[in-house]
Amino acid sequence: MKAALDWAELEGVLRSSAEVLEGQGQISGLQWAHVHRKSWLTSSTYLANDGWSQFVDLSATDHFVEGESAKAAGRFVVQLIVGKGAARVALRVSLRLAELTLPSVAALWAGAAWFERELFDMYGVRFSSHPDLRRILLYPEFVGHPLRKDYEKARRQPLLRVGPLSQLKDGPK
Amino acid sequence: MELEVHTTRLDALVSWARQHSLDQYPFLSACCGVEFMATVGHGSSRFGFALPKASPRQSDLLVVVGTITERQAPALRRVYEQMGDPKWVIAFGACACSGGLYQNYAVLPGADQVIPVDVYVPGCPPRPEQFLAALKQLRLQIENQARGRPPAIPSLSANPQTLVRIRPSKSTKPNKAGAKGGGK
Amino acid sequence: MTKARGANVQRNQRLVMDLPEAAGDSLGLVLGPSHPVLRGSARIVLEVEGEAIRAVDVQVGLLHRGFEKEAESSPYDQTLLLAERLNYVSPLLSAAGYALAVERLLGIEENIPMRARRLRVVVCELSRIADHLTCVGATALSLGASNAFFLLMDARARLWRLLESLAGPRLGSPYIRLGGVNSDLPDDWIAGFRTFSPGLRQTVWRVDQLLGENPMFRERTRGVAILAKQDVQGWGITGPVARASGVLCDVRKDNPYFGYEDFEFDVPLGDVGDNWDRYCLRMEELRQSLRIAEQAIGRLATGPVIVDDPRIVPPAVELRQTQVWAQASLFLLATAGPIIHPGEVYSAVESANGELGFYLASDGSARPKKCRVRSPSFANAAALGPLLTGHFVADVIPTYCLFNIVGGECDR
Repeated sequence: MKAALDWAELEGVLRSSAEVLEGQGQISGLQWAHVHRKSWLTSSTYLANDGWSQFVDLSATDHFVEGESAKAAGRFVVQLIVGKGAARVALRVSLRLAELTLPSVAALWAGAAWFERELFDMYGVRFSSHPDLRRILLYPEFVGHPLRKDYEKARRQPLLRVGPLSQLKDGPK
Repeated sequence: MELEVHTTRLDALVSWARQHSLDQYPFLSACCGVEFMATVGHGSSRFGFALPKASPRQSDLLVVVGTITERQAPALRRVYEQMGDPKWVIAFGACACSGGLYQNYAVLPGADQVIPVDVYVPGCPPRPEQFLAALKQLRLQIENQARGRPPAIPSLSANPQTLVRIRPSKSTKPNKAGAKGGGK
Repeated sequence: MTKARGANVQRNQRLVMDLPEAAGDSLGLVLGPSHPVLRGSARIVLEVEGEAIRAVDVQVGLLHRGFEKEAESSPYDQTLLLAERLNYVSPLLSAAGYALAVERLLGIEENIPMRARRLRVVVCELSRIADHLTCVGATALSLGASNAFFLLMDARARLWRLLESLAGPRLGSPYIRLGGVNSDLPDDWIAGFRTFSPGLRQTVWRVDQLLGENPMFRERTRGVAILAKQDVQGWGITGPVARASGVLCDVRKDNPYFGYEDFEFDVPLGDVGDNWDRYCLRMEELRQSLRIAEQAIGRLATGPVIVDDPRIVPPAVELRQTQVWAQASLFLLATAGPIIHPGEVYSAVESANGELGFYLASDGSARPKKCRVRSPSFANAAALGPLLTGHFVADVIPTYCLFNIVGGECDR
């Protein structure tokens, strides 16, 4: 039997710190729980202590649509997927552009550190108490956060030049 | 005893020597690298192409294989600069020619944005045999350079379909430091 | 006034900038990205004291090609091409993983014809074999065992000749399609496979003798880069690296797909979790994959090789010539691409490096809202740095090879 998340217990844990479970559901492949930003660390700690020790994924979705306000609430949804045996559970949280920060869960799952760096790189989410928050997939001089929907796919960066191209030697002398 | 004497021009002799002893430096990057490594099985050593040198300073042919990302571009440029003259560059694969499948923020739209390229081999990935055709084209170019002809006359024997020159890649926003001046 | 970006001094600083501060006798050393083994996809910055490593910074991302951004503006069937190029050493497996995710999103996983599922199993296992052959081959080469490298590359070349006869191209093969596979097997394919398979077993046996019985190889790999069993899950490590440390996790057994539950195969486990265990495990997995492929070939059901769903598969030519709806759905597929109702899915397959997961979210249009790749190489690479601290410089490359960090999959 695949392990399942004990909703009642999770709600109880959240209630004890005056927080609520904002949503829950089941999709093909995992159960998901939606919590408030303030409950991120509490719920993650609960999951880690409840035996969901397999770190699987940490990603985000940008729900920005052309024409809507870029500063709307709930624009970014960060999703943490952890596993226990064959089961997978996702913890989700909504963030606004103005409040794009979360506490780091790298202390609970060591693998989360690189995934949090990737979220910082791609979306600009800052993780407090992260051991080493810097870009991972892109270079340090890169400007912008490309996976945001308002970042143009083929926007060019000023490429680091290594001397004027006119000095290129064109073939053999 | 008879003495056999052959006469030729110096630059023809030099270009013959250069063509048949290209020391390659493969700058392997992505999927095309797997196809490039498969050329070994196709007998590239009969063209004097046997030893890949691990150092750019000892090579004269830089084979750019695979996608060049903007992050790798300075490394590629540095490798090119470390090579001694005369040097040639083959861009192997659609990504090295023009960015290929990936027209986005992360990928350089062609290796010719940072280094001059002599032969473009399109394909995603090109078959290993196409690399041998590229070598043949490069040898023709070296010969033409020696004889003062324009570099890229398509050979009648090579299939023009395999080595069509790709149009210069277009960026959405031109780089501030100037266009791709030196690239051909 | 254009700021002079990247004048020589600045360029040098950028490339040299993140060398660690030399303290005492330590020296900063940079491996890659232009390196015969790292192949432009990683840059490993070391702080060494003599030969011993004091600190490591594994920098990945040099092959970041914007898969997720491209997927958000590509039709689902074009993203299949990009998904193939993720793990380019076993491209059909990555493509199959993505196709499965889309099929699960559509809810048609059960409708995929049995023959298509069996063919996918064959092709996935052969791709896994190709990946392991390359991995062990690269390790052998990096340790100087070039004879073993050539044997393995020869086996891989024979394998690829088999795979390329399926659909034509080698890497960009359209063999895996959304909804099934592209075409049925060529007539002599099974005969070719039956010739290939004992040859592969022979190669694996010979390489095991060359490497496994070789005291030098054992010395270089035993006790090196030990990944403790209790650390594996916290790092998110899956696949051969996790199993070498003794953690039993295999998506084919835990959440079967493509009919893997019908086949008999063992999932080997290591005990110490050093490089030696990772090598032995991959060799054993080669044998097990061949076992699965042979079973699947023997149990190929009859029937179509692709599902009959006009949302993702163009209707048959005869229908298109007589029915307007059929022609219209082809037109729609060719211009807009598959249009998938709103929904989300998390779907995982066992790739050669571990759990390759796809999280797809659709909003009812022809483009996904989000296409996330859970990359096993990325998670595995995160542990590489702490693992290598305290080892010798000479251990870096064999460990990197045995972790099988494939640039396309790690950086997406």
